[in-house]
Amino acid sequence: MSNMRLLLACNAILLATILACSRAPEAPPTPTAPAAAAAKPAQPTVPAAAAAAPTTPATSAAKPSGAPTTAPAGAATPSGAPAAASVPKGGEIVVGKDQEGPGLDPAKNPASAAIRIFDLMYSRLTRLDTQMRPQPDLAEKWEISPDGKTYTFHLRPNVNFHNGRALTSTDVKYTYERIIDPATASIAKSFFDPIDKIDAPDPQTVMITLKTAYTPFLVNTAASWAGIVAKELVDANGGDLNKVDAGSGPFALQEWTPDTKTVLARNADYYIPGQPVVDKITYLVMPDESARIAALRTGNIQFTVLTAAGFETLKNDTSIKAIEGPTLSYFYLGMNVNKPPFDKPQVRQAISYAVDRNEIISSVFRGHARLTGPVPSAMADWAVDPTQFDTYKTNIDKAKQLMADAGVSNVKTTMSAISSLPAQVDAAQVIRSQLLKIGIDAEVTPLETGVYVDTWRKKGMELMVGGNGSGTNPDRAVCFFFCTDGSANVWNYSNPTVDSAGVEARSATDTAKAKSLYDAAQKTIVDDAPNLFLANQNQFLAYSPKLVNFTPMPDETWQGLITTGVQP
Amino acid sequence: MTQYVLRRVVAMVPVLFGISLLVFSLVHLIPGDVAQILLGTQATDQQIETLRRTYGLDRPLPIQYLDWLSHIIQGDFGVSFRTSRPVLPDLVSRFGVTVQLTLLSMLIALVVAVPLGVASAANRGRGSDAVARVVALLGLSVPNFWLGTMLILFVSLVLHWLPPVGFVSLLDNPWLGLQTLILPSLALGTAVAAFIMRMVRSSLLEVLRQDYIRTAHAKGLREGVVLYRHALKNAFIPVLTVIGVQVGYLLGGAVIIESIFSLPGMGRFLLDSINSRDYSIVQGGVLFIALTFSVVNLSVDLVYGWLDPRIRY
Repeated sequence: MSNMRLLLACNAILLATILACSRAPEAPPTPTAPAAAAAKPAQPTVPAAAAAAPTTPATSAAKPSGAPTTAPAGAATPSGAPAAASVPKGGEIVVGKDQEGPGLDPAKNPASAAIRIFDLMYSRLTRLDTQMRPQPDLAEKWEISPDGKTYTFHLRPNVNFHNGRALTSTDVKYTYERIIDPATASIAKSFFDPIDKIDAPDPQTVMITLKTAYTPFLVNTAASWAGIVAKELVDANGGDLNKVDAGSGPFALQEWTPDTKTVLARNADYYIPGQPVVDKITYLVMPDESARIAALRTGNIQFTVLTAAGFETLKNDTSIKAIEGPTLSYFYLGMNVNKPPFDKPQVRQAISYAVDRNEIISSVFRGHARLTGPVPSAMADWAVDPTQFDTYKTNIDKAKQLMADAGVSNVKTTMSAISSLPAQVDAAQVIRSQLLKIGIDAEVTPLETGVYVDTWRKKGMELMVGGNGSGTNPDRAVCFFFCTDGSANVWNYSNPTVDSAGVEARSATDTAKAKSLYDAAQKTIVDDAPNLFLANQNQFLAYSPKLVNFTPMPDETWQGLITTGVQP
Repeated sequence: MTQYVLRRVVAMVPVLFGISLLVFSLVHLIPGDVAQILLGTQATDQQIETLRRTYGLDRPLPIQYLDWLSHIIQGDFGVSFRTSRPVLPDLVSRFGVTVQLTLLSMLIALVVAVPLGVASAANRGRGSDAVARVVALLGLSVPNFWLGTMLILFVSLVLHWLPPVGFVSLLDNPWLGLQTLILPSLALGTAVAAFIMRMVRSSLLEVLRQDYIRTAHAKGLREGVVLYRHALKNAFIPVLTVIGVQVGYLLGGAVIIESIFSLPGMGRFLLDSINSRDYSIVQGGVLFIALTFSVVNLSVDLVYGWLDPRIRY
């Protein structure tokens, strides 16, 4: 347990330090990247518990009290600290990317490989800060009506698309309607389905009316998929932006050779002064990690993504900065609650008592992960403290007792995992040995990704180890996966308490009320245990020490590159 | 000759037709769905259905096959589901990378293998033969992915240099192109060289026992002339068969080497497409590779006739 606390404390310090750096615009920014300060003690002014225990939102942006909300001063820089004066503008960053995305249309590409590029090409109404709270982007301020149904966004003046045309409220209206249109098959459609109508009373104002109050709406306007597009370019390209740039973001697409390289050039006309810092970002597709590390060492690239193993290799290398940061993803053990014996809650609870999550964290993730509930701790406003759950404390006797109560013994079953993701297969093996202790023999069946997803979708599994992205709002983390009609509820799980909490929280105009509803729903889900939340893992990045002011984001986008500069 | 070539080309048609049927069925029989994989686990059923309809995947399989086939016959390879780009230009550009990699690997292999094989055969049983054979065995046994990674580590850690990342065509910029291709070609060419060297050696030993070689020696011809002009040309037919098979094989793409050296070749392109169930690329790509394999085989058969005038078609 003491190890556990240490781990949590370390993560809390890491997060707190990142937050301290990114949320203190008046303080002179240090020329080192904030995350590098993780090893230093946390600043005493920041509560170290910030990561684990949710705090009430500091900004008024999410407060749907009906009062006009003005952006807090200093929050106008979307991704954290403004560029330091000591960093000269200009220069180029060459990024080694592990994968290539299918295309660059913001509405159509859920793959992180694509998001990491188009995220920098498109502006949206709001942008997320490191705590996953919406901050002003194109909308400099907004109001929410007292009934929580009408959102009025006031756009920044003088914003131009990369093609030089002025961006107005009709572009926002067009973009959202394009996402909702079933013909676009946009991944973000469900984000905006609650929209009833969109009005653009003047070029600087957008009024969006929802069918019913839906509090996650504001956070959804910050999604990378909600990038505002220029209609004329959509029309000119047959409705598809996969090969072109129709954005107004900090960088513009200069060149794209699929599977080889993508070049983004600085948008000189960008509306936030001093951003972006570098002239050019070149993304090279380099699938092999040892090749990326070699290229980083020889200076062929300056920034790349790592696996945990790569991080272990580089963390003591003084010539390279290797950092880790929290994510919104977690590993889970899912159970099909329709298939005996997993239809019995006692059996699922027994499994929860039998699975030692800390062993998984230390053996599979080498400590680079933390305990989590349905909402990961990086979503600071909504996460619950996982140490409060009794079923998270390994107790084999209790587990055996529960199995006996359920009248179940000597279970033979299968546990699927994605064969190409070693961490999933490893976690499955560890769980298998842990479950043998209570008479459950779960044969590990590694599946090819396509087959795995197919099994998942057809709800044909018994036990399944997998990874989920919780999204950036609690509705997604809770209801999308565990409400009876949730699109990703493949576990056949149904609990009226969770359903009603989910529905009520969506329209709860009071943040504290929504928080208590989601807390209760999370507790119910953990008690019912259709999924065991195993661990919330870290992301790993490495870059040249010449890069300064980079901040990792829990949603694993590379927004931090906007403020990143290159020292000579 | 012309008639022979025509006959062979016509014979390719049923082969390609069979392959088209096979690859289409296989691709559609494996579980997993392009729309599901493309949209990820976050998508709703309705979104997946919409996308399937857009791609025409909701139609019966025989209809889909006939539709695809009728387009292929007209030279239309269709559009990638994943990227909505036309398949053929992408296939051709990936194939260009693979062709350059194949040719350079083969060049390296031949430059190393032929002299080594000849020397080894000429000095059969002596020390230099033993050394050459051990080297060949090593070349065959070392997996190319290991060799590739070692080459990268060696040049980056010892020479503090790495070839520029990202493919540059030899035609656009020969010097840069050579830099990006030399390490992967070395990694790929090593095993091929070892294979060819063994073939040259054994085939040459066979020929050197022939009467006309003794005659050539008896005429007083120099050793080198006997070896290279009289023996090697005749020993080359089985070697050529091996080269043909290796070229055809390399043209199918080298997934691991392409990944290690970040080359956008056929192998990675097809593997990614299989993983994302991008049916049109997998089908078109396999058909394309089958076609090149047939063409390479035909060329090898034609070169036989040039090497050995007794072979006439």
